[in-house]
Amino acid sequence: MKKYKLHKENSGQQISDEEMMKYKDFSRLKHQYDTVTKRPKKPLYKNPYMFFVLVLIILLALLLAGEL
Amino acid sequence: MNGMQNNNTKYSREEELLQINAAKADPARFAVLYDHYYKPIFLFIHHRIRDKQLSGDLTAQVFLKAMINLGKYRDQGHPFSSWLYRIASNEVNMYFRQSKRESDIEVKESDAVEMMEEINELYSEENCTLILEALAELPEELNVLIELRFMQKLSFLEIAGMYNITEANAKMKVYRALEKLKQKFNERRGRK
Repeated sequence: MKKYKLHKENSGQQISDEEMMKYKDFSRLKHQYDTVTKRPKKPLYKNPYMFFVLVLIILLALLLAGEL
Repeated sequence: MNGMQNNNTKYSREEELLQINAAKADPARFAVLYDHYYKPIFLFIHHRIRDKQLSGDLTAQVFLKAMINLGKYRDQGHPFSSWLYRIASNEVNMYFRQSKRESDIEVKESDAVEMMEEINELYSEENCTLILEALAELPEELNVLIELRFMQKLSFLEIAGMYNITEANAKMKVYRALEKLKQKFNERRGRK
């Protein structure tokens, strides 16, 4: 259950603009955003060279499987 | 209850929508919205949490979530601030759930006076104590509405945006919450 306490004006915890601005940092926020939303690396098969290597490996595997 | 204006109204709706669309296209442009809403969101959180460092962390979390989900934001005629307040409110509630801390809310004397005027009662120390006890006794969904309106000073349009209802409906909900508050207040006074 919530508790409500009366807070007399000009007493208790007030926060100044300066104090508030200490925590304001857009570049940090943007960096966090970039980290969270970073696209995954390009899959191997999308690289033409790696695609060729993968096809070669699969063909070799099929060839070996056929000979056994 | 008239005359309560949030400082965000100085930002025109068209301007705001342009900024939102720009930020959707380029996240670096979110900086304009961040600058504009940082203070009200920080104060909204600090009012509930009362810890500067934690308020700073939660404010950062709110804006990070807003940035990530900005693509899903659709204009439904409510101010952008409502959407941010909704995220902030969820973050604060999650914090209290996870930390199992009790929510102690400080109410400014001037806010208590305003609430008393709304239920046609005169200010006195005793009435002040009674109204805060009555407020704590209200169901969560009602005392939250009173907090948003009288302590956080949100406009009816902003409250409407948080609940995804019309402005008229938001007004009605707040007035109903006040009626219940008056009822609880009178019950408490009768007991004393």
